[in-house]
Amino acid sequence: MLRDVLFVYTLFTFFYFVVLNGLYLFLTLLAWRQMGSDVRARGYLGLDEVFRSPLTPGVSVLVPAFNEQAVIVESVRSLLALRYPSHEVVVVNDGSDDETLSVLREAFELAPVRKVFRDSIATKPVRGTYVSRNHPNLLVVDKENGGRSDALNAGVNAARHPYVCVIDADSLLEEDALLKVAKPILDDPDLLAATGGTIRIANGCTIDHGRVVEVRLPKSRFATVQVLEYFRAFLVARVGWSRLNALGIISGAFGLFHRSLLETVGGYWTETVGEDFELTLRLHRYLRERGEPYKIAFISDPVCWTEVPTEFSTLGRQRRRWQRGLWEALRRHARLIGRPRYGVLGLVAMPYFVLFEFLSPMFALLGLVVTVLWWLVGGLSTVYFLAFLAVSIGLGLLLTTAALALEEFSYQRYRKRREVARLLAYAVLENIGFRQLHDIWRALGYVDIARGKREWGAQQRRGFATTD
Amino acid sequence: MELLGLVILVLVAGSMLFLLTLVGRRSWIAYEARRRDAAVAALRPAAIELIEDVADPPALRGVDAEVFAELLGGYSLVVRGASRERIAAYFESTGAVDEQLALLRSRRAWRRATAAFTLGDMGSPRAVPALLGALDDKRRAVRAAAARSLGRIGSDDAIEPLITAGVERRIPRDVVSLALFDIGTPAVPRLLELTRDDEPLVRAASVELVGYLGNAGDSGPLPAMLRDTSADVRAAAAGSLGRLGASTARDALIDALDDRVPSVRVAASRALGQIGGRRALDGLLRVAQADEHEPAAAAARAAARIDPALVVHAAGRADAGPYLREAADLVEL
Repeated sequence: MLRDVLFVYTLFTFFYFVVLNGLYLFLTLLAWRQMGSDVRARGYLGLDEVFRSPLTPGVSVLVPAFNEQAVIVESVRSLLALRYPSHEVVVVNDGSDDETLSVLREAFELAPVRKVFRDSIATKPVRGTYVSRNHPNLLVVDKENGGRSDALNAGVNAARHPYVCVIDADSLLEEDALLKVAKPILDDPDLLAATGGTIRIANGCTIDHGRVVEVRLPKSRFATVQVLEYFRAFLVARVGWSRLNALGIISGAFGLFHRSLLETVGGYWTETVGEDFELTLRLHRYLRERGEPYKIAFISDPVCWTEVPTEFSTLGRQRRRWQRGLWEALRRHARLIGRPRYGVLGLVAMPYFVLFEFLSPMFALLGLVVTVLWWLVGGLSTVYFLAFLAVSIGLGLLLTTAALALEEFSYQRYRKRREVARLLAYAVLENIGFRQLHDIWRALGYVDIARGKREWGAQQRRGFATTD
Repeated sequence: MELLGLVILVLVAGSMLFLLTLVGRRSWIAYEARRRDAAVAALRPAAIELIEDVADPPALRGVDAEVFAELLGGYSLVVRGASRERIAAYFESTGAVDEQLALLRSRRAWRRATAAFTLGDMGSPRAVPALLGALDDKRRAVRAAAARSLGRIGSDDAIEPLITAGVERRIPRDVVSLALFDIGTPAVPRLLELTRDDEPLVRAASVELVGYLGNAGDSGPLPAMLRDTSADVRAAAAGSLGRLGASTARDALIDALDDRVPSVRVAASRALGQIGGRRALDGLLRVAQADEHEPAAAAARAAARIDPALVVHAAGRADAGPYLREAADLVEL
C-alpha cells in the first residue's frame, strides 16, 4: 500500500515538473523572440528625440523610505541625475526611526514648505514637507509610519507630473532607465497602462556618485545565485509573460504608471506585503472589466540596480515575505483564476501562480522526500534515482544557460569572461542545496500565512559600496 | 530507462550548445569591439574634416565604411546648414541613401523601421517622397521612424501629412509634434491655417505647436480660440499664449480663469504667470483661494511669479488658504 502511494505520488510529481519545465521552456522561447525584436528596435528607438523634446510629459519618481539612512543620499543623487527632460524626485520618509530625514536635510539643504496635496488616496497623516534649496525638483514628504504602500500612496498624492515611477530607496536607476521605461507609454499612452523594467543586482558593482560604473559579480555566494534567479525572473519569465499580455507583476523596485490610473484604482493596497503583485493584478482586473484594449508591458532594456540580501537570515525572511505576499494577492484576486474574461492572465498566468509558484515548495519538498523514501524502501532503483536527479539538474541547467545566453545576446553587462564562467558554475551548483533551501524558506511562508503574520519584518541596509 | 538516458543526453547537449554559443559569442563580441574602437579612433578626424569641408571623404569598405557612416550619422544630429548638406551629399554619393531606400521596401518591418530612421540621420532630401509614403506603412514603428526622419530632414511637404497622421493616431502625437518642432518656423503658417480646422484635435495640436515654434507676432488668432467649443483647444491656446508672451491676450486669459473646465483654468493661470502684469493678480489670487487643487496651485504659483512680495504678504492673512501659503514658502526658499 505504502509503495503504491509513493509510486503514485512520485509519478504525479514527475508530471508536475514536466509541465512546469515545459512552461519555462515555452517562456524561454517567447523571451528569445521578444529579445530579438527588442535588440533590433534599438536601431530606431529615438531616445534622444524624447529627451530633447519640450513636449515630453513629466514623471514623478516616488521613493518610499523607511530607515534608509545608509543608502538614501546616494540613491536620491542618482535619481536627480537621470537623463529625462522633466522629472521630480519625491522621497516619502515613512516614519523612519533612524536618521533618514536628517541625512536628506543635510545633503540636499531641505527647507520646510507647506505643500498642499491632492487627497485622492487616504494615507497616514503627513508631518511635513521639504523642498531642496539646490535641487528644486526634489520634494521630501515626512509622514507617520504606515508601510511601503501607504508611503507610495502619499507619493502619488504629492506627485505633480502625469506619470509616476516607483522605485526602492536601495535601488539605483541607470542614467537612461527612466527614458527607456517611459518610451513605450509615451509612444502609445492610450494603450500602455504601465511598464516595468529589469532589476539587476548591485552587490559587487563599483558605484560612484549614485551610478554603477563597473558591473561585477558579487563576492557573496548567496548574492551570486540571486544574479541567476533575477536573470530567469526578468529576462525570461517577465519578457515571456509580457509578450502574452499576461504580465502578473511589475516589480515594486521599478515600475511606471499613469498617475490618474493609480488614483482611479485607489492606489496601493496597504494590507499586504506583496503590494506590487497585487496592484498589477488589480490593474489588469480593472482594465479588463472596462473592456478597452490595454497593455501592461515589461521592458527589458531599462535597468534598476538593487542591493540584495547576502545574509542567510535576511534572505530567508525576504523569501518568506514574498510567499506571503503572493498568497495575499492571489486570495484577493481569486476570481481571476481560470476565467476566460481575463484572457491569458486568467486562463494561464493565474493558474501558474497558484500551482507553480505558490504551491511549488510543497510539491518540490514532498517530491524530494517521497522520491528518497521510495528509493530507500527499494521501490526505485539507484540507477533510476540518479537518473531522476540528473534530469532535474539538467533541466535547471538548460533553463539557466538559456537565460545566460539571452543576457549575452542582448545586453552583455558582465564583461569579464571569468565572471560568465563563474555564473555557469553557479548554474550547476544552485541545484544542489540552494534550490532546496529556497523551497524550505518558501514553505515556512505557509507557516507565516497560517499564523496571520502581517508585518514586513526588519530589513538591513549596508549602503552601496565598491565591493560587498 | 533508455528514455531517461535520452532526456539526460538532450538536456546536457542543449546546455553544452548554449555554453559553446556563449563562449563563441563572447569571443566574437570582444573581437568586434576592438576592431570598431580602432576604426572609430582612426576615422573620426576624417569625418570632422568632411563636415568642415576641409578634405574629401576617404574611400572605405566593409567595417570602416559602416563606422564612418555611423560617425557621420551621429554628427548629423548636432550640425545644421552646409555641414548637414555635406553629410547628405556624402551618403548620396556612396549609394547609401539608395541602399536605405531599397530597405524601406523590405518585407521585414524592423528593416523598414531601421531604414526610415537611418534616412533621417543621412539627411538627404531625396528620401522625402519615400518617407512620406512610409507614413502609411502598416507597422507603427515604421510610421514613427519615418515621421521622425521627415522632421530631421526638415521637409515642408511633410507638415500636413504629419499633422493628419497624428490626429488619426497612426503615429504617436509626441513623435509628430517633435517632427514638426524639428521642421521649425517654416511650419508655422500652415499650423496657423490648421487652427481653423473642423476637427478639434487638429486645432488643439496646431495651436499648441504654434506656441512652441512661433513668436508673439503669430499669436493673432489665438485669443479667439480661448472661446473654442473644445476644452482641449482652449487649454492649448492658453498654453501657447503664455509661451509666446502675448501680453495683448492678457484680458482674454483673465476671462479664461472663469472657464468651467479646470484644465483651461490651469493653463490660463500659467500663461498669465508667464506673461506677467499686475492686472492679472486679482483674478489669480481669487482662483488660488477658492478653486480646486490644480487650478488653485497653478494660480498661486503664477501670482508668486508676477509679484512674489504680494503673495508672501497675502499668505500671512488668516483667509489666505493653503495654496498661497505653499507659494509663499516656495518664494522664500
